[in-house]
Amino acid sequence: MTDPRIAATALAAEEGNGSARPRPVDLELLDVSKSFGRVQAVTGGSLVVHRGETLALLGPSGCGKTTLLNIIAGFEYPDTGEVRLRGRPITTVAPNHRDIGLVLQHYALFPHLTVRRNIDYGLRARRLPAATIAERVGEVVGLLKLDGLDDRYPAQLSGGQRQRVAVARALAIRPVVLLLDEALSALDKNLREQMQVELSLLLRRLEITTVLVTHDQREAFAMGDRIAVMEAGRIVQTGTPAEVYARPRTRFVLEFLGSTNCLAAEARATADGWLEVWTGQGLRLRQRAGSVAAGRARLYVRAEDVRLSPAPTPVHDASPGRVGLVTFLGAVRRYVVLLGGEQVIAEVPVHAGGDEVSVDDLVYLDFDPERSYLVAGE
Amino acid sequence: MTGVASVAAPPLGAAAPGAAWLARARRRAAPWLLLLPAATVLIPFFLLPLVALLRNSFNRDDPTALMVTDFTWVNYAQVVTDPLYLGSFVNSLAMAAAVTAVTLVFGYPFAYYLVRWAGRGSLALRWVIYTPLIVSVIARVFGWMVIIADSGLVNTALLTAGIIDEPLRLLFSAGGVFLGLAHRYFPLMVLPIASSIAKIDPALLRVSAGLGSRTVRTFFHVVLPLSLPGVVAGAQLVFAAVLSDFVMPLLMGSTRFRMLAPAIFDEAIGNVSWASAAAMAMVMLAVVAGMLLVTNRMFRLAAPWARTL
Amino acid sequence: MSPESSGQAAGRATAGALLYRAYVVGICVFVIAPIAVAIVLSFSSVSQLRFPPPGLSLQWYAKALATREFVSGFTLSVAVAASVSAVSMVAGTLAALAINHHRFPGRAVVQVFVAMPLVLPAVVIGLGLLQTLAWYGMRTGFAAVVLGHAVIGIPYVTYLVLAALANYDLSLEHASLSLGAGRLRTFVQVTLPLLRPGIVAGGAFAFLLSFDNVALSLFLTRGDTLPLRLMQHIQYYADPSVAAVSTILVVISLVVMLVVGRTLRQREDIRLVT
Repeated sequence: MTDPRIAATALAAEEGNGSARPRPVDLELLDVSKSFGRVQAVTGGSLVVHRGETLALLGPSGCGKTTLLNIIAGFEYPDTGEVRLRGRPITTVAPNHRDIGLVLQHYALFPHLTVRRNIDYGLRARRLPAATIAERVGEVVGLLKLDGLDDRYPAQLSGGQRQRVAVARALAIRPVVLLLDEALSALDKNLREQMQVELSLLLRRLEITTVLVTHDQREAFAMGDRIAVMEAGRIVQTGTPAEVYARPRTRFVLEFLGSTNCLAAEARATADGWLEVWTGQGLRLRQRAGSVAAGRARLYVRAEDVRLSPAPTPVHDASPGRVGLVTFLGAVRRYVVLLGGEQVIAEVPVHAGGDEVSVDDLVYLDFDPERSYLVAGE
Repeated sequence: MTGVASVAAPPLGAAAPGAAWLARARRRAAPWLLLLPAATVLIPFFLLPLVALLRNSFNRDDPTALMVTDFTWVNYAQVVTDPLYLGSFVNSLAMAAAVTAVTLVFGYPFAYYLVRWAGRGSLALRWVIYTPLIVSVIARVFGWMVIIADSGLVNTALLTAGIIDEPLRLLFSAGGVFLGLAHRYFPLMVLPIASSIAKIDPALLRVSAGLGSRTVRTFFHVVLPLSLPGVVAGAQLVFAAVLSDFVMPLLMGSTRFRMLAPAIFDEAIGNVSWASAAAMAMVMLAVVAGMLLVTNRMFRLAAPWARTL
Repeated sequence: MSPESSGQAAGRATAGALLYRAYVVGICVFVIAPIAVAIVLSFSSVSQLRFPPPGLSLQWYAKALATREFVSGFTLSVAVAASVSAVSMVAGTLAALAINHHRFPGRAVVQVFVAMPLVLPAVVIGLGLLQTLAWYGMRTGFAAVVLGHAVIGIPYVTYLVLAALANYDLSLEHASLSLGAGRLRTFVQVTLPLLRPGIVAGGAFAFLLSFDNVALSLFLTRGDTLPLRLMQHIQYYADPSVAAVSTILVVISLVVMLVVGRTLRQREDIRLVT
């Protein structure tokens, strides 16, 4: 039976789920709010980031994640709430006193300085002795594989090299927290995925606490130990990638992550305490009553959980649907099935076996009710 | 409908109000501090003089004292009624309109060439077009004097060719002033137009061609409308500049074709009539400002899709 | 300038293209003519303003350099222009930063106010200054003319720096701050070097504008700047010594612009193209 935890769920599942011993907290945001004129950019933002952890702030553009990042970095002061770095309140401390490393989407490398000068910029600002500076620079140059590029100017570097210089520059100052603001989105796909892996390995090895801001779900999942999903200025769910994906707490999270089908449905209570769910397209399943009220509802199924069958299935035994589109995407095949005026998307691994399905075939949908979500209301 | 279950609320962190307020105050003061040096020059030496002029325009000129404090509209009335003053106004407006029209007609093709055709020659062209702006006014006036004098280049050429029998009176006439002004402000028309044309996304031209439009059609339907901000900016600049120009009419003009700026100067220094000079200045200001506002409004109405330069 | 720009593809040898070029050349001749004439005449061997001159000579340069009014006018104008340039660069750059970096109430008004001296008639500004100098206990002279010219110079610098700031990536300052540099260090090490072309261009323009200024100087000096001296000379004598001085001024202007152009181009090489 479906196990919808869309409605209110105990919070215990989230914070620090799975870890037995508590790790020290490097960064804390306590109920931070910020508005610009009449626009409320962030409301009630609270976060905890443990030492060595990478937290991904994920959300669509305009959801407030960049504002939150600016508050952490010190370029904005919140209207209410507090920011604490290793327990020390830094809410109104100037950005240059925060010991936070920043890597921006377009890197913001100083165009008039060489690579070396870019990297040691923060160290010089701290007036560290020359020997220390040389040592640290050598260290990060090695870590980010930038050897030999010392005397080049940013304009002479490739995109990937610039990205690494930006990271090296931020790491050279040995920040308490590293902030990445869409730092990889300017790279093309293959390079980006490669950097995601390299960066993740590097951050893990150095045990650097990181907050990563992105709108790219794949990136958040690839690099984040935990995800915080934001919508319209609020953090609506935090958890590990698996938790957030499998147990979304709000409709927004459910729809934002993955490729999800949404069907209008009706839930009816039965005599023996179960709920029968019918969709307009002839899909049917049963679940335990109680978590969702009877009446109108929406049924969600992820595309990768939908299978196609030539014969009627337990969830689909009324009129079949017709395959409208078949797309080969390399690892999966995507089918768009037209069913009662709706489109249902199914993604089936190419090597899943079974019969070939072609356009215009009549098919029945099959999915595990346990892997579906029911949300009450329109 | 599902709601967002609230995160287990931690205790409300106190935003240290004092520190935040100080930081905010410092941020709010920053721009004003940066503006301070400019303000110490512009306010006493630009704003206040304008205010003084406004006030003085209501005073009365007295042959015995310098200027008598009063509140009278007599100076403004004089500007509108006295044929001498009115004449210089009309002359200036006519000259401004003529120069604007001519520089626009001749300048637009030049600007277009500069942006789209010149290629490697565009740098040299730019240097050429900058010269009237950076070369000393005296040099230009001197050169013009030689060219348009009664025995100057133009007349000698025309006489020898037999086109005219008598030398044309160009120097010290409206015609000479016109040439000098058109020459001086030609770049002021060309540069904004060129900038505006350069901003046109070349992709638009490719799309237009791809949709089957030939070059001329593309020009009239795509380039011309999109370069309108530059045209308007150039026209505004040239009109205002010619209206206000002082040196050209002074050096190359004649007493028969009086223009506004020298007239004001004469009134203030020659006649020592500060009040009526102030009134004339105020009227000139009003005309320039009014022209700018009106053309901006008209432009925005005619081309709401355009961004001004 | 895309290679497909409508003109070049069409074939340069067509009659239309030739005519267009001839037109452009004609305009160039018009633009250069008076300046060229003045330069050529400065080498004339006679004192009549006849073009082309019958012979060439350097006599007018010698005469100009020997004329006391010209030399003293030149030194005064240089001093004034240099001061104006300095004042304008400082005030204008800071004003541009204020307008660009900060959103504050009244910003639009400030922007318009700073642009006004460029659009309003110089004669009006001069007249106003004439009538208010006494309030500050000032009289016509060096201070008055420097401040009067600065009224025009500051807006020029402000707008040239604002144009440079349009290409300036604000996130560079954020990066600098996050790395631990204070505001002053950020300004000196990041902002200034990147704005230098705009500031220098503005300063050069302010210098040239002040050097060449007639309208304001008439109200604010006793006729002792170089343009005013030249004007007086033209009105009384009409000999090529004025042309000689003018040519020297033209050369100075061109040299200044060349230097500015070179600084601007240096920056382009190492500017990051994002």
